Amino acid sequence: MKKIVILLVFMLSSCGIPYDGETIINISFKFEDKNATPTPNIETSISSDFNSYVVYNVDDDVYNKKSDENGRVQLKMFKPVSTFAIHINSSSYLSYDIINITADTIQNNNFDFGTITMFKLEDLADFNITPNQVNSNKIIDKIEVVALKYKSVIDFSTPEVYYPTFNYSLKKNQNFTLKYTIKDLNNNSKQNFIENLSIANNTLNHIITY
Amino acid sequence: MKKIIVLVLFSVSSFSQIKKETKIINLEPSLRLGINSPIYFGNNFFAKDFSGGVGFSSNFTFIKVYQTNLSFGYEYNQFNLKNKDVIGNFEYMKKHCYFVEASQNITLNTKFSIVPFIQFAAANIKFKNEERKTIAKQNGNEIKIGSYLDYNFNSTYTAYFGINFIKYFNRLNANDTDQKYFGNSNAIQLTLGFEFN
Repeated sequence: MKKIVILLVFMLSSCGIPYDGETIINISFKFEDKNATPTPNIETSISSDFNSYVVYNVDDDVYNKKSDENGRVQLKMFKPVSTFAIHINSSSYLSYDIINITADTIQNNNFDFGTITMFKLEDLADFNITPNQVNSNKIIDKIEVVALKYKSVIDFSTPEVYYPTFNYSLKKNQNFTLKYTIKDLNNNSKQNFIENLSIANNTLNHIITY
Repeated sequence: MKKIIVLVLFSVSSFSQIKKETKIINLEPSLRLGINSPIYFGNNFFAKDFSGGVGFSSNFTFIKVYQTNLSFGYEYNQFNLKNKDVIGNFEYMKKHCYFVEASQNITLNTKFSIVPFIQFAAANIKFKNEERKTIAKQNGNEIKIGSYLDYNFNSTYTAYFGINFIKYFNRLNANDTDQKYFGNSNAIQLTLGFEFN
């Protein structure tokens, strides 16, 4: 019975119209490689995600476009009625999936995603953070790595609970900044830390002691 | 007294005759069925990015008020998208129009008459992908002004040729450039069909 209900919900949802034909939006990207050189022929496709059972719907072929010689993609499209995802693919570079973009993200019918750096696997080195808890009343509240980095899935949704990320793929041979916040559970006070680090060609391991 | 009754009867009789001659509303049903072909022009979405469009027209006249025929009708057209770079990789677009029409018959001779008309239509547009799935839809409006040229075979069957101007408009949520390009269009439409009286 449960399967039948799920199937019915799926079928009904599939009948929905994924784009609002009365609203026209413009989405733009710029793609560069690790040396900030524009990268042409990066394929950008958009899929609506109006059904919780279907992450990427079948309409990817409706909106897709390749970047021009300046690495630019400008896509004119009907506004998705619900959340949507953008898939960035290239035979030469690692792909991206930008997911859970809500229609509210698009203001004034325009949305510029800015510059997206396209990486090859050999451009990247791992940066691993090892938490070293010496005081049981303290926790890592937030971690931010300010660097040229790669993440295959960029999620626009706001998670209900924040979990710090400890593993990153960074562009090799760069100086970067690690920012983190330690929270004291006794008095809820927070202390911010900033560390300037460098990554070379190999994996960099870093310990945060708190 | 007798004179007064006669006068009253005469007046009533005369009034009845006048009323009959100037009958405001007449039931005069007729049905037009035909094919249409709109030719879009100008710098707009319909003109630049779609091709084809031969469709079907129907029009049911049900009443005549004074000398004006009042009708309602349905029109269907399908267009193929030729520029898949402009607003999405749609395969084709279906346009359904539901309209009301006011027209007048002007008899030229026993065989020919011209019927100028004005229509106001609700235009429902569906954008379809390869799998015939509706990806987006729009609800716009059309005003059509033109004329039929009728050739009467007899009191029941008439062949007609029509030519009219179409102004499509839709207030979109878009920037000014996109509104101008996607929310307006102009066409000359030709129709050919039969009318059944």
